[in-house]
Amino acid sequence: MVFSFFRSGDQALDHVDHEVASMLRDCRHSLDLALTSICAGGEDITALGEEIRATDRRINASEETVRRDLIVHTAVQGGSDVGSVMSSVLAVKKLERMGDQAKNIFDLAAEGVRFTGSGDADELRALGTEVSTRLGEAAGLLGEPTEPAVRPFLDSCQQRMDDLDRRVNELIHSDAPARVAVPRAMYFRYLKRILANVAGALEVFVQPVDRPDRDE
Amino acid sequence: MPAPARAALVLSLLYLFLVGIAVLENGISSLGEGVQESLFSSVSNPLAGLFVGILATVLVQSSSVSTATVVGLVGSGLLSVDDAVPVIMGANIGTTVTSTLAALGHVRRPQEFRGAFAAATVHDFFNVLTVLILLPIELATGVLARSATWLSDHLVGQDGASFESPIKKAVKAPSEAIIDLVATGPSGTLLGVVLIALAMAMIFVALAFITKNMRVLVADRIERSVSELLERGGGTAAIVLGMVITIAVQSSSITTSVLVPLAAAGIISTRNVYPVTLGANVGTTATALLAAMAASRGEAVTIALVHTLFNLAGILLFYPVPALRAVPVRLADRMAETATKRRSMVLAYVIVVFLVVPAFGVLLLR
Repeated sequence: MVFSFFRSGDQALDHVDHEVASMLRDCRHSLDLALTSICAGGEDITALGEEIRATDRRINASEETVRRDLIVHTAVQGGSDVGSVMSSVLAVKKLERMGDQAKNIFDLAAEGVRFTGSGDADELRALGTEVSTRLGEAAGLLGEPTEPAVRPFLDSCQQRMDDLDRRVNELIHSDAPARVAVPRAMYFRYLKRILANVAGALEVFVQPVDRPDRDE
Repeated sequence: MPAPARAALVLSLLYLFLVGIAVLENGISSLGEGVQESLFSSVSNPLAGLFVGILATVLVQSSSVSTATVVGLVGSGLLSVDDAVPVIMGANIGTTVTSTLAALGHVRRPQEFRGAFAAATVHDFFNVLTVLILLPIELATGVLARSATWLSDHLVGQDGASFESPIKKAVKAPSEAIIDLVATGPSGTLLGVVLIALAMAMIFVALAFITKNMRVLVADRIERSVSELLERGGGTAAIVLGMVITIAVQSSSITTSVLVPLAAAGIISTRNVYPVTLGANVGTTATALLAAMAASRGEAVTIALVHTLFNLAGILLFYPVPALRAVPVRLADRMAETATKRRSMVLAYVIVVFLVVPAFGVLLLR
């Protein structure tokens, strides 16, 4: 720790950005494992479960590290970049929830749900893969989250979220048996929450705080 | 401001600080003998000297300023090393008030306040306990002063010999120019008073801006190393880290005050704050050593070394043995517990310990 004082290294919040990027990679890894467990057949569910839980512990540890680093940052540097600090706090909380939601998808598989062999298996798998790809895109955008770069991403996330909502509503009113409708509704719901959280994590960096502009 | 420009500014401020020390010496020499006698006779009582050290440091909110001033006084030959030792010890206690005041910022939130106040007062307890043990030993044996004299004899020559460091030579011309300029007006005691006031202002301003600019320059390094400290815990490396940060920013208060909000947030324990505080105590002695380099007499180096040896001796007393190491930590934790229950008493504690007791001590014992 003494040597770290003398060596050159990360500036200000750089290390927090690295930790957030690593968290996002872990979230995607967790989602991919969950998708494998529910969409593919013949996988070792126990091994997948262990890896998902280990990844989730890593995500939670990263969240704690980021929060701790931000407290140190504020204690040392003062409030000069309070906006970035607040954004990072909000972002890591949203990312941490994504880890839980990936675990929720895995829990469906652990309960015996498998989409393999059903008529909509490819479509369900494609939806999951698309959300996973969005997490990869978000990792790139988090490096330098500017409004022009982030806005199209947020818009496309919103479109997919509306689509997932529509699918859930259709299932609510469908005549499909519960063992078919319920897992799909929950799957769509978790994918939507993951998308909402990744979009939210990016949005906190670009969303302006309300600025009252009073004449009187 | 770009980092190289800020670094150059810090070097200039450091030069101003050293010139201030040289001007201070000359200002004191310009005072009449009667004035000198009446001003500094009070600190010949060791307890009065201790209280003067506490009070002066609390009032200027910087042990670097008060110890550098003591070095200037010893360097001018006005204050003996023996009389200056309790003042230096008092400065060590006085400097802890800053982090205690920082802890008061959390007083409305009990959970935060408990950690913050313990982190702040562990510094108080360590310094008070060290003074309680070392001051009587020093008065009886003079071990610190004799050790420092032995060291300074080897570093700058025999006791009493004129001490000509390169830094002293470097600050000679500007300090003489300032003195000549001021001497065109007042003379005698008034000249001394004006020079002392000017020198104190130079020392205070230089140290304040050195601290401010160095904090900006090394903030990322402090942040990185404190984050690592939190991952790995305390220990000897934490002592060295506290020392390095304090030398870099020239203020132990900055180092200890950074730890207070971390303790308030619950991410560092009093036990892990403690070694950093010990390092900060040693690191802050660098200012007095630097000031001694601009002084005329070898005794200035001796008193600066007393400051360092006192803090090192405190570490040897209250760190290597786990049972003794736990004493300041437990006292601070217990006091924080009590303070959290009776928060209205905390301000009274600060005022009584850091202002009322030293002020009455000085008045009664001088």
